Amino acid sequence: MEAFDEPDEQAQATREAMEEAGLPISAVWIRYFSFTGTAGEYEIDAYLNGSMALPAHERDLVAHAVNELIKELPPRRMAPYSKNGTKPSQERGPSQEDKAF
Amino acid sequence: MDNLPLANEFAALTGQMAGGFLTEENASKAVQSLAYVLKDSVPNSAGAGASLINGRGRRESAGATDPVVLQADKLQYELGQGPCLSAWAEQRAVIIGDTRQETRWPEWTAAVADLPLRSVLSAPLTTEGRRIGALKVYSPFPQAFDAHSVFLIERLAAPAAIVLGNARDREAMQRLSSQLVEALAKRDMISRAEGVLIERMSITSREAFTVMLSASREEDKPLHAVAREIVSGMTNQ
Repeated sequence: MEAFDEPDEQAQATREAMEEAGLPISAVWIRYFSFTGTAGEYEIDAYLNGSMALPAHERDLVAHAVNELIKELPPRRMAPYSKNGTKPSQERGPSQEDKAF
Repeated sequence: MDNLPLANEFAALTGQMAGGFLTEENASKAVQSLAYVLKDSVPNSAGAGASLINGRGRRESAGATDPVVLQADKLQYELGQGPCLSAWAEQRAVIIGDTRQETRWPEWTAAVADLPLRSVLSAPLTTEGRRIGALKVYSPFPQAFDAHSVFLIERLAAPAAIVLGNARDREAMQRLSSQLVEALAKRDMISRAEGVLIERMSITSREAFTVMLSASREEDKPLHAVAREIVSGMTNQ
């Protein structure tokens, strides 16, 4: 995850991440609220749509709420392998294993 | 506390909660009364009732006057086709003059061939633009419904939709309030962890949050889990 110095870009990238993951504003707000966020749902909606500025601290709480919700989504479906040959996990050591996402 | 914007959310919540919502049970009884009126308006009809339908797969009967209504409804839900599902999806009244001649829902009409019903009338249940289901009446005789039946079912659909829509709001509100209780518990835990860090590390409130957010990101743990560990003294932050 990149760091954004431009508040507008952070808002836009946060909104795009929500849209890609299909996260509703209500779910993001309630998670942000549980992080001690002090803006209301309406203000968060306005921030994400570029019509209201939020302090950097509140912006990062929104970003963290979105990221936690994305990590909680069910993993994407993977393609199955045939029974021929070896399983990919036997071909390489655990040190080479990919991160979970 | 700088919590003014939140006052809007809580005012809306408490306002809605104080609004006197119907229970599901009371809503079903009220709709069943309307279903009896509908049933009695058609001579020798087999029964009437409502279906609660939504785009996320909810298919339920409410206020049915007779078991045959539940049987015919259940077949619609299982087969994913039928006059009530079409009335809901197309937002208009649907008439089947004779199930033995009908061709629009072949699987459903075949499945109900053994039930004592030959004609069907169904109208959408809509309140404030929300499609919540369909009202229907079944008859054991073909061609049981006319233009007056359509007029009547549409008049009865309006109050049925309001009653059922109201009960549905109440369910959504209960879900929301349980989410809020959970969020408040997490919020409390995070505030307590913030206080622990401020005291333990002699740092500011913002710095305490930076510590917690970094730990959450680096350890790939939810923020409230990081906070819980700090409060219970499991970390040496």
